Parts: sequence; structure tokens; C-alpha cells
Amino acid sequence: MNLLGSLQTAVESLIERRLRTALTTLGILIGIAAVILTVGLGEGAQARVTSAIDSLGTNLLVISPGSATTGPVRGALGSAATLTLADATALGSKLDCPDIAAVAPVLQSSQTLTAGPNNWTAPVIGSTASYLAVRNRQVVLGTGITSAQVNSDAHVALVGTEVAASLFPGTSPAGQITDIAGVPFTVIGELNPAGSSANTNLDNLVIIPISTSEELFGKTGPFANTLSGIFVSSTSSSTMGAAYDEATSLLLQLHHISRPSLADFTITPQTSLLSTASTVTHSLTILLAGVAAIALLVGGIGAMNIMLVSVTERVPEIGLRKALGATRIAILQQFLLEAGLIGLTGGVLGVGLGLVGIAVLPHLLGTSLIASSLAIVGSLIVATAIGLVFGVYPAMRAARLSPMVALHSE
Amino acid sequence: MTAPLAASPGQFASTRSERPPLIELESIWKTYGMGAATVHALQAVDLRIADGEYVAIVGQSGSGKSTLMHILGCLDVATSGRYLLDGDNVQDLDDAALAAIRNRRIGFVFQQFHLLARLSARRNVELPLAYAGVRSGAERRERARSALESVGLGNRLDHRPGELSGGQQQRVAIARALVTEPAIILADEPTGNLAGDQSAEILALLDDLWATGRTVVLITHDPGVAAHARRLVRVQDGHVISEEVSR
Repeated sequence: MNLLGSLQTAVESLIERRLRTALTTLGILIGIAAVILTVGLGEGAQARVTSAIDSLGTNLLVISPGSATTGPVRGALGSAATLTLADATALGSKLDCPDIAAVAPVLQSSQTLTAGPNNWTAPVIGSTASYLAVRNRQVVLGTGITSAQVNSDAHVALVGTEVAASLFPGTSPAGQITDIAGVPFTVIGELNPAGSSANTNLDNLVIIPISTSEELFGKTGPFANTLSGIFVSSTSSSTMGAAYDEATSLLLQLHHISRPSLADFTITPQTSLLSTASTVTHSLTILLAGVAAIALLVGGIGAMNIMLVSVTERVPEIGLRKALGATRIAILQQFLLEAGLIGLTGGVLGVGLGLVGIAVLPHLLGTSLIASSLAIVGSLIVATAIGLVFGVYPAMRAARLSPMVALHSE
Repeated sequence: MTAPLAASPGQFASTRSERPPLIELESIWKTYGMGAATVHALQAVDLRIADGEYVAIVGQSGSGKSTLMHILGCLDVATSGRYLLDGDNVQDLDDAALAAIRNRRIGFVFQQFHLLARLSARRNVELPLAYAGVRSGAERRERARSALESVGLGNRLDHRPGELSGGQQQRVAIARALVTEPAIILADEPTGNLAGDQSAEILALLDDLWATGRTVVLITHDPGVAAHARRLVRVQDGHVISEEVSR
């Protein structure tokens, strides 16, 4: 019998046992939908992390103070105040660090802001004019902080969208006055919305000149006259490594440290943040996909079970077909086609359900899911393959039946 | 229904048996089971059936006549011995070749009809053609229609087995046996499930098939049915115990 004839026979037999076919298909369907959804969740998380880290700034190196080593004890990151404005100035030298494009020293503290009846608490970041370029931010309303304002300790501030909305609801923040720690500042601009990075709300911040921030909160405490950190951007993504090496050797030299292992600072390239975060979400995706794969396996075993029942039930039919001239191959082909069709149908419906889930779930859960074309095509192939693989054994049993035994089994 | 030949079928009997044997069994053994449970269903059976004969294989249940029918029909293979079908040694053939023989050279008629309930009469009759590799659906339908017409069911093409009487179902089965135009019709208790008048119809149909040149082998325990054949082969305890020309 040709393939088309076998296909017709397979379809008719599946339709004849439509309830059983539907239930078997359901097993595959659920497994495939689970795979599509978990992969979608994983890809969504991955994309969120990537965009969050991208929004931290382009070609960014983060220099953090710390890891004070006292005898054999190495302290935690940031446990020592080791970075100074002089370090930042030196890093800006084109002579020593040709691959560093811009440097932004940062002095950061959480402060209370008031404007009329409204008050709000936000991280206040003291930095220079190059902060925006290094962190890949733009001023969407008003102007940025100039070098002249940094040099003159100007009381000017840039605010994130969340701060602006909280302090000046319904009005433009540019030109307004806000008190930071009781000192009045003029808001000169609002930053572009940037969303949230993994653990930082990039829209809840205030930027003021670093000189002003030193006056405001940099003179007291254990970290007096030092920086919270330095952001450095390399000239391009290909010079990240060179910029990293230049910054490391310059800071070691300035801090009079001979062995890099004793460095009292840590430089973290943005790419390493990215790869760490990617690894985490990737592991999560694999775990979820593993659970989905088990669901699929259970569906496949269910399909095999049903195919075996189907073979047993149709022994007389198989015997008759053989008596009429069906070869083993023809019988094998018929049952494999039935199993493959169950798999393919389950796959198509499962992908459909998965896509519906991807469209609907973000509205219910607030997470983003991404429909991966690889997962869709892969699922369809896997579903069909599962039908075929789990159909092989029942089909072979059917094909091996002796026509005589099969005919007389009623 | 095909028109009977002008001459009486009986006149052909002597001339037909002089033709070369279509079926030739030589010391066929069929053994089931092993050790103490061994059953010799057939013991050194020799049998020749010439082209165009009308043979009845008779015997009580358990005599071995069903086993003999399975081996004749290539539904089962003998444990030892030689089976020549139209000169081909069946013992040497593989699954595909045996399937081809069942498909093209032998038409089966079973006691239980063995029609597929979900298919129409015409689709049931088309089945052997599909396995014969007739690719054209139009040709399959036309040949099935013509086979059904030849058994008088031209007006029941689209009826399912459940909508037909027992006699009509058996006629569909005979049409299915005829559709690939095999040389041999092998009928296993073809009237076993039928009432008297329907039984007579089916036997008349088989007589006609023989009259138009086909070799017909009837397997039955019923002497009345066996009387339609021109030769009786009696099977008892795995042996062929007598062969007699009935007319």
C-alpha cells in the first residue's frame, strides 16, 4: 500500500477512536505547551537581564573600593575606603590610559528630598559631567550638569522619572526647587526612563555635582573624602580588556601595591555581569525545560500505552489485512503513521496552547515571555518523534503478528 | 452474476484434472509446541490440486483441516515438507513474497466474513487492490464496483457491513476475494454463519466461480456443503485419509 493509502487508513482509524485519540493527544499537547511556556519564560528572563545590564552603560567598567586585607583576613567588597577623586582624575589621563574614554567618580548616599508638601527618599549620586555618557543615560527635559557647575559647587540636580513624578506630580521638574538634606537645589533636568536593573531602580535617583555632594555628605563617616566607586567606559567594546588592564596597573601603582592579588579595589566589567546573570537564567531555563521534558516523556509513554491497546484490539483487523496481502512493512507503516499523527497533532495544538499562554500570561503575572521559534520548530519535531519512537514497539508487535493467529483471535 | 457456461460443469472434471497441478504438497508436517506438549497437526500430508478443480477438504474440528487450509493459503508455513504453488516453492519465500501470493493468487472467504465495520462495501473490496499497488483511486473504485456487481451487490456499494444481511456480507467478502482475480478461491466454512437460503446463495456463487474457470477449495465439516465440490479430501488426525471424486 502506498503512503497516501496508509495515511488515509491511519486517519480513519484515529477518527474512529476519537475519544481515545483526543486523550492521547492531550498528553503530548500538555507536554509541548509546558516546553513552549518554560522556554518562553526562560528567554523572557534572559532578555530582561540582558537589557537591564545593557542599560547600565556601554563598555562599562565598575571600579569598587574595598577588600581591605588585614593580615590573613580579606574583607568584603567595599569594606575599605580606598578610592579617591585623585584616582579618578588619574584614570582620565589619556597618556596613562589611552583606552579609557570617560571616567565618572561617584559619591552616593541615600537622602530625603522635599518639594513643597511632597517628600521622597532616593539615592543621591554626586558625579561629574561625564556620568551620563559613561552610564548611557540622557537628559530628556532640561540640561545636564556642566563642568563649570562641578567646579563651582553649584546646587543643581538631575532627577530620575520616579523622583520627578513623586516630588512634582503633574508638572515639569525643570526649574523647580527641591531640598536635599535640608539644602535647596534647583532641578535642571530629568533623565530618560531606564527601568530596573536586577537590583537597582534606575529611575529612582538624583544626580548632583560631585563637589556639592562632598560638601553635603562626603565629609563625615568612616569613608570621609573617598568615593563610593568609579565608573569607567572604554573607547569601544573591543578595548574593554585593555582598559581593564590599564586601570588595574595604574591604581595598583597609585596605591603602592606590588601584587595584584592584594589589590584594595575590584574592577568588574559589564560583560562579566552579563555572563554571570546569563548563566543564572540559563540554568533556570534548563531546570524548567527539564520538568517540561518529563511531562512530555509521560505524554509519550501514555501514547505508547494507547498504541499497544490499539494493536491488541485490532489483532483481527491486522490478520485480515495480512491475509489480503499487507506486508509487515505495510502494517508497520500504518501503525507508525497513526503514532506520528498523534504526536504531530499534539505538537501543533501544544504549540498553539503555548503561544496563547505566552500572549496571556504576561498580563496575569507581570512577567515577560518570549515565543522562541527554535522552541516551536523543535517542539513539533520532538512531538512527532515521540509519537514515532513510542509507536515503534506497538507497530512492530502488530507487524510481527502471524496472519493466521490474528485472524482466529476473536 | 456471471452467466453459467453452456456445458455442465461436470463434463469438465476429467479433462481438468489432467492439467499440471496448481497446488502440490509433499510430505507436509506441521508441528506445534515442544517436548511433551508437541502436537502434530499435519503428518506427512501429500496433496495435489489441479488448476480448475473444485475440491472440498472435510474433517471434524481438530482434524487438521484448518491447519491445512492455513498452509494452502500461505497464512502459515509448514514445519517441513515441500509446497509448490504453480511451480514456486512457497517454503523458501519471505514475508513480502508470501504477502504478494496471498494478495494476487489466493482469494480468501472466511466463516466470520472479516469485513472492516467502518468501511463501506466498496472500500472493503478495494483493500486488496491497495495492497496490490493499484495507485489509481478511480481504477480501484471501478474494479471494486465491478466485483460487487458480479456478486449481485451493485446496488449496495456504499452500505457498511452492519447494514447488510449475513449473506450479503459474505457476498462482499467473495467480491473482495475476486477483485485481484486470483487463480484460487479458498473458502473456510463459507456458510458456517448463514441461514439455509443465504447459504444456498453463497454455494451457488462458488459453483459459478468454479464454472468460470477458478480453482475453488472449500474447507467444511458439512457433508451437504462438501457435496458441491467435485472431489473430497478427508482429513483425520493430521492425515489425509481418503480422496474421492464425488461426481
